[in-house]
Amino acid sequence: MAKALVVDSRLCVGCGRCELTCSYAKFKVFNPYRAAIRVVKMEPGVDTPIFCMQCGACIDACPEGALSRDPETLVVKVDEEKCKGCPFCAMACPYGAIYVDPETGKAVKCDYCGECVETCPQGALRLVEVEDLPWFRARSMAVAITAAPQLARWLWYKLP
Amino acid sequence: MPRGYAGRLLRVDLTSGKWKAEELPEGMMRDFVGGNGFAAYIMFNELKPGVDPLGPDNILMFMTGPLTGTPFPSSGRYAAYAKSPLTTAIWGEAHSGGYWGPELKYAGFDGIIITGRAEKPVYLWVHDGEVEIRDASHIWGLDVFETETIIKQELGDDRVKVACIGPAGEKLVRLACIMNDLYRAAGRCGLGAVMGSKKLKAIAVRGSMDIEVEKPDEFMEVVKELLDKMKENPVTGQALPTYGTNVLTNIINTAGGLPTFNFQQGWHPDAWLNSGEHMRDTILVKNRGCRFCWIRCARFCAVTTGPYAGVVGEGPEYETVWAFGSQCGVFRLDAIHAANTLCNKYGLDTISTGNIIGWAMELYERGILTKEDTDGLDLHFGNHEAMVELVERIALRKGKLGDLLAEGWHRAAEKIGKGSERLIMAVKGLGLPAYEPRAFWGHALGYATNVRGGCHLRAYMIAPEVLGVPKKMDPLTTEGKAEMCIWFQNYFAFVDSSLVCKFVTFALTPEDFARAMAACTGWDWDADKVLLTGERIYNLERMVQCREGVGRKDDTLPERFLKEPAPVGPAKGKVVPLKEMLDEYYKLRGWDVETGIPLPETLRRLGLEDAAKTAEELLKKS
Amino acid sequence: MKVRVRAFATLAGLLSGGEVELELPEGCTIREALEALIGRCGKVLAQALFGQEGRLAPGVKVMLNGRDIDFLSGLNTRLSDGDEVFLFPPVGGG
Repeated sequence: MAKALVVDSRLCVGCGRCELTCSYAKFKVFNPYRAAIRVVKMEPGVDTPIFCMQCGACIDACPEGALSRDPETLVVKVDEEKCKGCPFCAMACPYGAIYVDPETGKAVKCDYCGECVETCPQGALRLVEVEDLPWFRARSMAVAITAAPQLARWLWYKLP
Repeated sequence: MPRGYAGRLLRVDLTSGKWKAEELPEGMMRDFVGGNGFAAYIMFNELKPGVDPLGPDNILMFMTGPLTGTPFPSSGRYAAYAKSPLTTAIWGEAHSGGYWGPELKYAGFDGIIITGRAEKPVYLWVHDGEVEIRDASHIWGLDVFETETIIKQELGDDRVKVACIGPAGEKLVRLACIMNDLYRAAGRCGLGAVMGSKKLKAIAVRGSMDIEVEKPDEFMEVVKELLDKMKENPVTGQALPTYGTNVLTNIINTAGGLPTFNFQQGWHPDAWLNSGEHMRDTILVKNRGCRFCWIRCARFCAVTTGPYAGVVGEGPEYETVWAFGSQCGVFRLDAIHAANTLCNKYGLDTISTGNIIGWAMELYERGILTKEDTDGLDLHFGNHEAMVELVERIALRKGKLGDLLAEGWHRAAEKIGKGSERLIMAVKGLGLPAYEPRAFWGHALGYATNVRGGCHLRAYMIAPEVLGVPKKMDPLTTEGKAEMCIWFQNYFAFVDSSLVCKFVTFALTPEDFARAMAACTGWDWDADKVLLTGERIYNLERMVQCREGVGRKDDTLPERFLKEPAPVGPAKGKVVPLKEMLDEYYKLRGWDVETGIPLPETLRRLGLEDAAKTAEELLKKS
Repeated sequence: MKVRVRAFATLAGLLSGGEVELELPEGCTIREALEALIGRCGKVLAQALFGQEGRLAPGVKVMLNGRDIDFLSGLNTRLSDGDEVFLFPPVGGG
C-alpha cells in the first residue's frame, strides 16, 4: 500500500541527520545541501524538517512533462531523462521542497523512500500508511499554525 | 578529495591581508589524522617558543577531522588551538559543537591557520573555496547574538554559520572564549582573547560542496552498527538525551565529588536543586543537539518566573551548573542560567568564570578582599545577584575587581597578595572544573597531567571511577590509575583528531573508530593503530609545552588537595596521593621521571624525530 | 533501623516520589533491603534492579553513603541506622 513520510515537529532538534542520510541515499555523498529534506532552525529553539507533500503543483508547472504521479505509490516522481532543470517546478512549489541539483542539473524531491526515518535520533520522522496520513498532516498543520503562540506560551507563561 | 577530508588547509595572514589554500599532505593525514594532530604538528613546527600569546606571532587554528561532517555519530564539531594567554600550559585547545565545524568542510577546508594581526577589526567570510577578509568595524563591540544576526543579514543567508568573539575577547579578557551558533563555546584556555588580539571578530562559513569517503557503502554499514550501539547504550541512548550532562550533579554530589565553596568541600545537601532531574521539573523546554548528533544532550531552558524571568537559550551544561552553582554556593537554576546566558552573550568561558568568582568569594569571606576591593559587591557564597553582576564586570572589565579577575587567577593573585595564591583552584593556570580531586584520585591525576592544565576532558577518569567504562575502578585507590589515565589520554587524542564528540566513547571503542576510519580513508586502521596514533599526538602536544619549560614541577595540584583532608562526604579524611601515581605515570609513558619530559627513545618509537632531538637538548640542560 | 532509599534519573520513576524510607531489622544486608523495597514497589522495580542469577543488573549502580557497594561487600554489605542507599542508572557527561 502507499506510504507517506510524516514528522512530529515538536520532537525535532534540528540535528540534520535526515539531510545527510538523504544525500547519501540519492547521490552517495555527504552533503546536507543536496538532500530532499531540509531542516530549518529558527532561534530561539524552533526546529523542523520540510519535505515534499506530494501536492502535485509542480506537475502542471513542468514544461517538459518530467513530473508525474506514480499510480501505485501516489508519489510525484522526476523523470530524469525528460527533466531539463529549467526550474519551473521550484517556482511552483509552495513548500520549497523541490529544487534543481547543481551537480546533476536535475530536479530533486522527496519520494518517501523512508531512509531518513531510522536515522532520526528523536524518532520525529515516520512512514505511515496513506489511510492514516490525514491525521498526521492535520497535526503538522496545527503545529505550524500554532508554533509561534505555543513557543510564546512555553517561554512567557506557565500554566497555573 | 575523498577519504573524508575536504583536502585543503586555509592559511590566512592578517598582517598582510593575504590568504592561500594548501593541499593536505598525505603523511600528515596518515600520521596526525586531523584536529589535535594537525594542531600539534603545526604548533611544534611553526610556533616559535617564547612568543606573546596576545601578540601577532601567536598562531590561531581552527580544525576539523576526517570524520567531521560525515554520518559518523555526533560528528558535528571543531576545535580551536593557540598558545594560551591564560595558562602556563602553553598548549591552548578548546572544542565546540553546534553547526560551524561541518560547514567549514562543506566550504572546502579541513582547517584554518591564522597568523599576524589585522590593523582594524575584520571578519573572514569563507564560502565554497573562496575567502574574503571583510571589514568588521561596524560589529566590533557588539555582543555574540548581535554579531551573528548582523553577519547573516549582511551576507544575505541565514544558513551561514558564525564563530565569533564577544566584547570579552575584544577586551583581551583572558577568560574569553570563542562562541559559535549563538550558544556553543570553544570555552577553555582564553582563546577568545587570542582572536581579539588579532582583531579578528568572526569567521563566517557557508559551504555546499560534497564530502566523500573512500568506501561509502562499507562506511554506512559501519555507521549503522555504531548507531545501534549508541541507541542501546543507556548513557548515550537515555540518560544524556533525557537529562543532559547535568544528569551528573546528583551522582557526583553523592560520591562526595561536587566542588562546593571553591573546592572547600565536595558535598552539599542542597545540590539536588541544581540537578538535571530538577531542571526537567522547572526551566527545561526541550533538548537539542549539535549537527548530526545522535545523542542530543544539549538543553534549551527558559526562566519564566522570578527575578531572572526572560532568560532563554541553550544550556546550562553540568560544568556551568557547577561553576555558577555549588562553586559559588548558589543553589538555584534560574540564576545559573542567567549567568550562563551572559557568558554566551559576552563570550566568556563559564567554567573559568564560575571558578574565579568562587575564588573571589572565598577571598572575600576570609577578609582577603574587602568591599572596597570588590567595588561594593557583597561577595558572600550564595549571593547570586553579586555573582551574576560580577560575570558582566569580568566580561567588560568593569570596575577594579572585574578588570583584575579578567586577567586570570595568577595575575590577579600577584596584585591581591595576602596568600590569595594558595586558594587558587587551578592547574597550570587553568581553573579546575566540576570534580573534586580528593573524591576521584584517577581524575585528579588527569588534572595534574592533562596537557591543557586543569582539564577534565583529555582523560575523563570519571568514566571508570563513577560510570564503570571501560571497567569499574574504585575512585579512592591509586591502583591502575596511571595506566588507565594514559589509555584515555591516548584514545581521546585520537578522537579529538578524527574530530567527533567524545561522548560517543561511552558506547564506542577504539575498534569502532578503526573500522570507521578504514572505510572513511581507505587506509589500514586497527585499534592498536588508533591508540598508537593518539599516543603520538599526545606526546607531540607535550613537547610543545615542554620546550617552553613545562615539566614535572607543573604537573601538580593545589595544596588543598594534597594536604587538607576532605571535610565531608565519602571521601572525608582523604587527600590525593599524587606522587606515587605521577611516578608510575611517567614510567608507563616512557617519560623522564624527574622532569616529566618525554624520553627521546619514546618519541623516536612514535616517529617524532625532531621532537626527540628537542627532548635530548632539554634533558641535557636539566 | 531506618534506611533511606532514593532513585535518580531514569530510575526515579520506579520509586514512588523517587524516595522511600525503609524500616529494617538490625544488621540487614543491602540485598535484603532491596528485596524489602521490591516488596513495597513491585515487579517493575525487580526487573530493573536484578538481572540473571540474582545479580544486580549491569545498568544499576548502588551507592551506600556515597560509596559504590562493589568496593564494599557488594549486595552482602551490612547496613546501619541512618544509612542512605542511592540507586543510579549509567550516567556520564563532561
